[in-house]
Amino acid sequence: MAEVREIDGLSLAVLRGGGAEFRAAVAGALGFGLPEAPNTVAAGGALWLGPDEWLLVSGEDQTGPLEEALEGQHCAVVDVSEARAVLELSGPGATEVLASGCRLDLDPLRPGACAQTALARAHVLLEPRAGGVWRLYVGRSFAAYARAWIEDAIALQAMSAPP
Amino acid sequence: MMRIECPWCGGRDETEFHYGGEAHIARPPDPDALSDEAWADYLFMRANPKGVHAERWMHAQGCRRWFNLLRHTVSHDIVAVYPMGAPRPEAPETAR
Repeated sequence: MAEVREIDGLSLAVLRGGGAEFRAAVAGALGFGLPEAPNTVAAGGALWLGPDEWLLVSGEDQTGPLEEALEGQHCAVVDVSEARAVLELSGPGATEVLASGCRLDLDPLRPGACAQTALARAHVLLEPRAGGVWRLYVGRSFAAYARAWIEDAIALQAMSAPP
Repeated sequence: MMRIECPWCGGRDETEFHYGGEAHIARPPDPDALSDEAWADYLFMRANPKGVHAERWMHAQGCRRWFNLLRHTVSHDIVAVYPMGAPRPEAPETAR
């Protein structure tokens, strides 16, 4: 059976900006480059949100070094650790649980990709990870709803599974 | 339900998007210089065609970017998707 849990303690930041100088400064501060292709993830923990927007996910606060490296540039670095909840859905049937509330075709999504879409009408950022694990980034105010919905979907799946 | 091709995220359901009204309506550079009639025309008058319509959409539950598209108002066929600021493309003959 699939299971869902909330992951605490991650540091999340939204980074906005563009241009060669911006990218070089960010790569210098983070130690890796931002993903350029839409809906992809850089191994170091940067998820594509838009053509000039990324979500940085890390165990420690990255805003300080970034602000320093980007001093004087037209860009934005915003700590959103408290604004988003991170849920992890794992176990057998996790993808089917997700698919029961999400209209996006999840089959083509592999680790290294990400997608922003709606899960049970709530805005969610999906990140498939190794081992069939899904990470879901949802707005903090939607976290309880999203989690309750997923737990309900897991229970439904368990009831309808053949013995 | 329409499927809309977001220029960044690919094909998604209509429910992920917000409609932004008719495209290519430029704000007059000097509103004070306009007559009431011309200002009302800018504010309220829209093409409302039976056929291909240029309109603005935003991928709200996705990348949150605005773009333009051409949609046939009878068949709902989306015949072109193009960036904001780009000129309106010609609709293919078959779509008119």
